[in-house]
Amino acid sequence: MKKYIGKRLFWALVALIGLSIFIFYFGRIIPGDPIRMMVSPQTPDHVVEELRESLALDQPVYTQYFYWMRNVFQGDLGFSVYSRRSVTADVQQYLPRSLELIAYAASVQIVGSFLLGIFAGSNIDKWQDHITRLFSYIGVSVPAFVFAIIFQLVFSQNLGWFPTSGSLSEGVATPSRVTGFIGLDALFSGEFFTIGNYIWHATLPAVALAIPGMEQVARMIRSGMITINQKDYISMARGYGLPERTVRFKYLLRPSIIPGVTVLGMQIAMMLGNAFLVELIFRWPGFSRFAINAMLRSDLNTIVATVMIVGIMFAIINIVVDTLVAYIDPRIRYSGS
Amino acid sequence: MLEKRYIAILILGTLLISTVAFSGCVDPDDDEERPTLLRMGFAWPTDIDPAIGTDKSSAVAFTNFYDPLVFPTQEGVEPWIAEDWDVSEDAMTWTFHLRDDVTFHSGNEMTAEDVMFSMERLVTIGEGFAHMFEPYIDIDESEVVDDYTVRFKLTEPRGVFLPSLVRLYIVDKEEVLDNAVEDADFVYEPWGNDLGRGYLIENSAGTGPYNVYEAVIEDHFYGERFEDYWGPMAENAPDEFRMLALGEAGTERTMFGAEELEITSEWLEHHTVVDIAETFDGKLGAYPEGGALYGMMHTQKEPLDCIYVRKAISYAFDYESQIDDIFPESELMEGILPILLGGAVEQDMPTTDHEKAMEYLEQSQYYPDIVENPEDYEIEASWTGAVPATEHVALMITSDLEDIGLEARSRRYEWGALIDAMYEKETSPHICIVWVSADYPEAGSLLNARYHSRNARSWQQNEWLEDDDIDELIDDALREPDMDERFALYEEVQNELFEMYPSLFGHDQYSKHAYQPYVTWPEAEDPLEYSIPSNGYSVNVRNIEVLPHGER
Repeated sequence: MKKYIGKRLFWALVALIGLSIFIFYFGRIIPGDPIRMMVSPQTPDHVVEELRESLALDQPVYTQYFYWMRNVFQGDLGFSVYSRRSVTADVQQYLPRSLELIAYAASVQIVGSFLLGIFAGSNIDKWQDHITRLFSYIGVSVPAFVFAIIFQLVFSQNLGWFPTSGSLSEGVATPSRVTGFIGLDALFSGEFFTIGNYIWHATLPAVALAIPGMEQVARMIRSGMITINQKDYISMARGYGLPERTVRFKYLLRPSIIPGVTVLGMQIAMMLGNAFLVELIFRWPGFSRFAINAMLRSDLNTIVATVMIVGIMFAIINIVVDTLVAYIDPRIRYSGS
Repeated sequence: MLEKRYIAILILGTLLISTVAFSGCVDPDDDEERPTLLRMGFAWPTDIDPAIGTDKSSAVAFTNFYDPLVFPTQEGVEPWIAEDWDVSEDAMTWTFHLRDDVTFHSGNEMTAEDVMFSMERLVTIGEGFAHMFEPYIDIDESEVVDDYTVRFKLTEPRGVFLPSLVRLYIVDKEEVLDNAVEDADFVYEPWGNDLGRGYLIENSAGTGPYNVYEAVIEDHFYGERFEDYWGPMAENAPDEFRMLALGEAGTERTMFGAEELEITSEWLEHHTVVDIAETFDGKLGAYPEGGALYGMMHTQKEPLDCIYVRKAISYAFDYESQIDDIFPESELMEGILPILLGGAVEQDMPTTDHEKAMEYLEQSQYYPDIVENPEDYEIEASWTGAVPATEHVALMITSDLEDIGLEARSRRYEWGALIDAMYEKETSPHICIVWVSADYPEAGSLLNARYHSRNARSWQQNEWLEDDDIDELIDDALREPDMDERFALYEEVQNELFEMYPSLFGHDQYSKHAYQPYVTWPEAEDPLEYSIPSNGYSVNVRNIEVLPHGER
């Protein structure tokens, strides 16, 4: 198992270095002079050139890459021409908010997809299966931001059950910063009301973000259950008179969820990129909203940092998923090694 | 065992749901004494450092978190931090006598040292509004005369130095230097630090009516009323001014309906703003800020290098429909500049007349080839995706040009790509549709930005006039210290420019907003009386009244 994980880590590192080189060069051919976009239109040329020099943007791209890599190892992701401060500070501010939202959405997605998948897979061609299929079609075909708008109109504006936007109510103070994660910081300082208020605010965006992927994974689990259900060893287990509960959860479900777990991992990793519109609609002060806006302003260092963070998330989740799958099905581990 | 686990999960689940449910039970109507808020949507980024920002949201921040040396009015400028001033005959030495009752948010007293430092900091950093001072001010010769007198020396006569000072916002020297960082991305000499650049991203160090107490970049700035503010303030001026990063129509609508937003953001489409106001019994307001929509015509690019083609386009454009269908809140231009700017004059502006357009087209050197082989002279009307409403104007132009037999197409640019394209004469589009606003409330601001060769490469110009006579006329006007004579020179430049037909003069831009019925906003309710033709100054929160909760 260690060898298996080690191999995955090595290749993830190689992929990330390749990604950093690619995005570093690619970011610099996007139209839009970042310095001219940063300053007022009548700023004299000499000021523009001084700024360019200060940020080493007058250097060849390979030199800029070298500086960037050196600074990254010192924890410095460079200067953002959009936020006008260190990208590291931006990441520290926005990323925890997005990760908390994604963690919430992922929890909803995991629980929801497993429940729906098992519910449908256990009731093939019955009304439960048909209803789940209908939900799945809606979930797969409607993007997250549409759910966000509908939820906001229905549950916030019309019913008033949830807040319209933001992450904490009026008068609820942001807990003292320890980790940057509001939930954790509130927990450390014992502010349970703040935790509840935060979860209350995060519920609609999290559910909107979770639904599309959830329905897709549910369909995969259902299909897996149908396929595995037709295997001889399942018939044999039933023939031996094992309880249906044991057959279903021990022999049927475990192999059925493998494709679903793999896709689930990718869905969760993609949430960081997909969260932009949901964060925009709910005014959630997260990383996706910041990153997209910075990209539109040709903020080179933020572009690189964003892509690398998403890449790292993909790599980590991939390794976790591969390990999980290898744990569920040891044959994968041995053939992979 | 299994049952115990289920019971534990049940208890935990109930606790979690209760916590979340009860945490939502914050009933704002319980407390009628709670602070009054003015929450307004803005496009981001917003730079609250007065040495950095220039765009609308930044300018609004400066108006409310800082004080300028002089304050803009429809007539020019009025005393503000400077109570009075003297100018030498050569207009190169300006002496300002300051108020002695002004304190910073920090509690420090404001003195001439702070005014001098604010100017020095602005020109040293070189960004933001520095271009209005940097080439002309002689910092070494300028001096603090005493605690309440400061003298600025210029390197050449500059009549518009006084109105330009509406963009010199006074910062607290002591607070800024206490928070300056030596190990920063930008270090300025001889100071050896970042001149508080990092600090002022998220903090205000001014004397303005509101003081920033919470800042989350890309999300919000919260300002509380400064109780020791020296200046006039409306009786029911809000206790807090909150600038929120917004722009998504659905979100603003929902927030407005829930009374979580007092004023919508500026760039929503007209029908959205009207719908929000009508649905929630809100008010509609619009005010001019000294800006206008221009269709900038590249005067050195075929076929627009021929004045008759430009004249033909000017008469082909459907001015009325542009107002009626796209920007109903705005007004047709009465001259080549927004009429509220000091020194702007009324002119005999072209109106839609396709027969006249055809007559001009026939006088063009490109006629008849231009209508027989229009594909050889295709005209590109460019707009930026950053301002979607300009697409409608681009489509309108292409349709109008096709009506007189010209080939035209609309082209979308991302904002960065447009800035790149407009930087070079060869890559600049035929026509570019952009709004441009004045930095100070005089015609000279826009004449310089729009038509002087020194700014030809900026996105505020696409005409590429590069005309020495126009440059000289503009420079003469900007140098002239006497306001009446300066305005007479402005008139001369405007008449010269008008005869060149360098641009399509779309409309005087009005910023439009929906706002809550419990808000009274003089600048939006009676714009001709109260609005200030200088970007950002009409969102002057100390003049806006928000009814206390118990009186709504």
